[in-house]
Amino acid sequence: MLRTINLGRDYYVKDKNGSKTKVEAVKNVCLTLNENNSYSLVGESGSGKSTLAKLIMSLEKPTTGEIYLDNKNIALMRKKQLRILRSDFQMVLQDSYSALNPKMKIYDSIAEPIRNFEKLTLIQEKETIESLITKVELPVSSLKKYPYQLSGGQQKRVCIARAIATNPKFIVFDEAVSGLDVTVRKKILDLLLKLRSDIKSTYLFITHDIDVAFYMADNIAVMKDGEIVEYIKNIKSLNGFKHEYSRMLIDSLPPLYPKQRDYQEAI
Amino acid sequence: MLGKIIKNKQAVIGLIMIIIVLIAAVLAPVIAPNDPMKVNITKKFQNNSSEYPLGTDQLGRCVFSRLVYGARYSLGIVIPILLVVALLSIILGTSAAYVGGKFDRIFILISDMVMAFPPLVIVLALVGSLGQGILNLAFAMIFSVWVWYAKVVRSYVLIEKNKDYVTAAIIAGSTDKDIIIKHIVPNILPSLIVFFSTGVAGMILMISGFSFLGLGIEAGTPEWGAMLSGAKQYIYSRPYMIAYPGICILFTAAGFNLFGEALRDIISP
Amino acid sequence: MSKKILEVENLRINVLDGTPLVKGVSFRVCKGRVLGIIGESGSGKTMTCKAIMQLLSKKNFDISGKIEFKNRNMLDMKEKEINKIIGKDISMIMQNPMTAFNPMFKIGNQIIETLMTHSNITKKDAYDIGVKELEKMNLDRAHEIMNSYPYSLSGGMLQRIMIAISLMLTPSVIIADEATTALDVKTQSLILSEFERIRDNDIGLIVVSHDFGVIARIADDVIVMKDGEIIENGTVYDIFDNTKDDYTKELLSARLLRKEVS
Repeated sequence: MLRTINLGRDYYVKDKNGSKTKVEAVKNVCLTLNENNSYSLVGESGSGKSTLAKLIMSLEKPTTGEIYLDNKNIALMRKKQLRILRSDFQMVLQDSYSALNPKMKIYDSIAEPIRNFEKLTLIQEKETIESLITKVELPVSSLKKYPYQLSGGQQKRVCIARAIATNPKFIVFDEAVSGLDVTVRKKILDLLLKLRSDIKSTYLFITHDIDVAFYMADNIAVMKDGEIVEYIKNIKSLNGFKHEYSRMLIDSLPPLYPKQRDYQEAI
Repeated sequence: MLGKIIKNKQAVIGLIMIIIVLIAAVLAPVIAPNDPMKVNITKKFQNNSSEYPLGTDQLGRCVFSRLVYGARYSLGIVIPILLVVALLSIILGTSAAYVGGKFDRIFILISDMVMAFPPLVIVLALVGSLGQGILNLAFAMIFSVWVWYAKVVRSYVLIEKNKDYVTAAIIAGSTDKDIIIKHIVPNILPSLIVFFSTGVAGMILMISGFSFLGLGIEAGTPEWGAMLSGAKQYIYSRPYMIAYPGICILFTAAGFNLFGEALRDIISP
Repeated sequence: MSKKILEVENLRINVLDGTPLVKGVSFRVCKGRVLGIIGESGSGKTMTCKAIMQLLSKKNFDISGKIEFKNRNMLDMKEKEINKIIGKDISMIMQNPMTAFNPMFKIGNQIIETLMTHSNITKKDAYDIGVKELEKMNLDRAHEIMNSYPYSLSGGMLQRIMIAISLMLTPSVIIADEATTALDVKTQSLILSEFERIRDNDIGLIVVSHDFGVIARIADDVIVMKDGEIIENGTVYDIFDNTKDDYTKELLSARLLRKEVS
């Protein structure tokens, strides 16, 4: 459904002397995402995973390569054509507080994508929005609130409601659960898993936390310095990773039980 | 926000001062005891009396009435100018920042060129070539100050444009028009209101300054700057004549400044 | 039982209008042991740490109970005495290292300044101590770091420098408040190893976190906090293996269970 071919993105960074140096944030990324599947992309900060997310979402133009969404090359598309397609691919950003317009009520924030893509009567619109907010397990009364009146977890749920409002074919989650308390994180992740079996979208979960990646997806790619260094389909256990870098990320994970730590301290 | 304004002493004082001036401007015919334009040479330089609360000037006109009407002129010129400038600068500043690229570079180039000259020089040159008259003065002022405002608007939009909620709106399929009107403008508006309300004080001073120099406003008009200018020859014999319009200008400018500054504190703690 | 250094007894913190934030918390910190405090945001864990660091102004908060350091109640001490202890004997590592440094000064200057305010040494000695401590923290090119500004270093790097600075003053207690939350797993793992080293230096360590993974890795004793109260306390093995409390169970179930790594 979504295919990237040799996707690359360069940046030019000026150093102290004013001379420009080329930084390849994303290099030769070839990914194929199939319908109704779940994928994770793991990498540390600076690995280029956020840039890749922006490229896939066509928020930035790639330097090289192509992105096909259902055989249409969206990398070459004009803004107007792209806008019409946006109902098919959605994204949940990392910081949900800043991703919501502080001057807009939750109702209007969720209504925004619906109004852009569908022509509904006011009553239909209200019904749709109320069903969306119940889907993300928030009370209907929160629609009248402003973003600052909600907790971090609730704001995240609002962003999720916005993302699923247009029944997209696939959704990118860019570090969507980092910065949340672990209990909240677990609830959000479980909600997303539940929603996926419901709406049958493809998820691309971008995260630095291999635990989250493994929890959310069957297919995991590990990214380092702009390249995908390992890709495992239908992963069953973290032992499946063989690449040295992936192993290092796994070994850095904190233990689940205190008795495992003696083993880790020995390393 | 209204509650916060009422709690802030500085804002309340500023607001009261502004309201006093506004009342004077709106109700000038009711408040003023005499016709501000009526010349009566036989009654020149009269002292305070029940007929002339602050006495009369060199032509026997009622000083108090002239001061009250003066509020009309000062606000009557400044507020339309401000509205035009606000509209112009929001449109230009927002589109320059939002569109970016070449359009933005041309905008920067033009605004840098205009900003190279002090507003006073531009107004002098324009009024000099266009001729006297309130409309010409207003045009000259708009021309000389819009860049300063547009540049500020541009910088606010640049900050706002890179925020996540704008990205989220793009992803949600909003058009550029919707993004500007529904997202960016409502978020920069509070800061702009603060910025423009402090700008009012500066403009009132500017208008008075120009009419003091004899620019734009016809002789005999009860405008504070012009009154100040007319009274300057009597500075030694009758210093109060120059003090009254001065105090009025100070009062109005201070009112807007106090209010604007307080608003700024309220919005960005 | 090892020797206790810091004891908090029945600590209560109220906002002046009466809203309680911490409702009677007691625990002790011992030499060479790590106390883990776990709870969600709003549980009062950060407030407790701030109270120990005397960061809460008496103008805004009403603090009662006992914070006993070396057998003296810090809540009764004069400000002068407190200033001698805080920052030197008890120091804190915060969540966001970016805000802990002054962006206008080089790291080296900030290290030297900290050292010189707390002990009587020359600038040259302070610099040497700084370099030595940075090297101990497994930071290569210590001289280069001393000469760089905070913005040019990564979050993980700054956090390690922060720890190095706290260690330079040879404290007895270090409080780490969500010190690894903003970092990625690799850096977190590095920092946690540094914490192990701190513990082995006979320093009492308080690690505050919302993540049971961090607690499992480092803590010896654990207290679970919720709404300003201690829900449960015990050794780390007690809490993980035999907890009776529903809230602790909920927190434990928030871990993403992975298939075991062999």
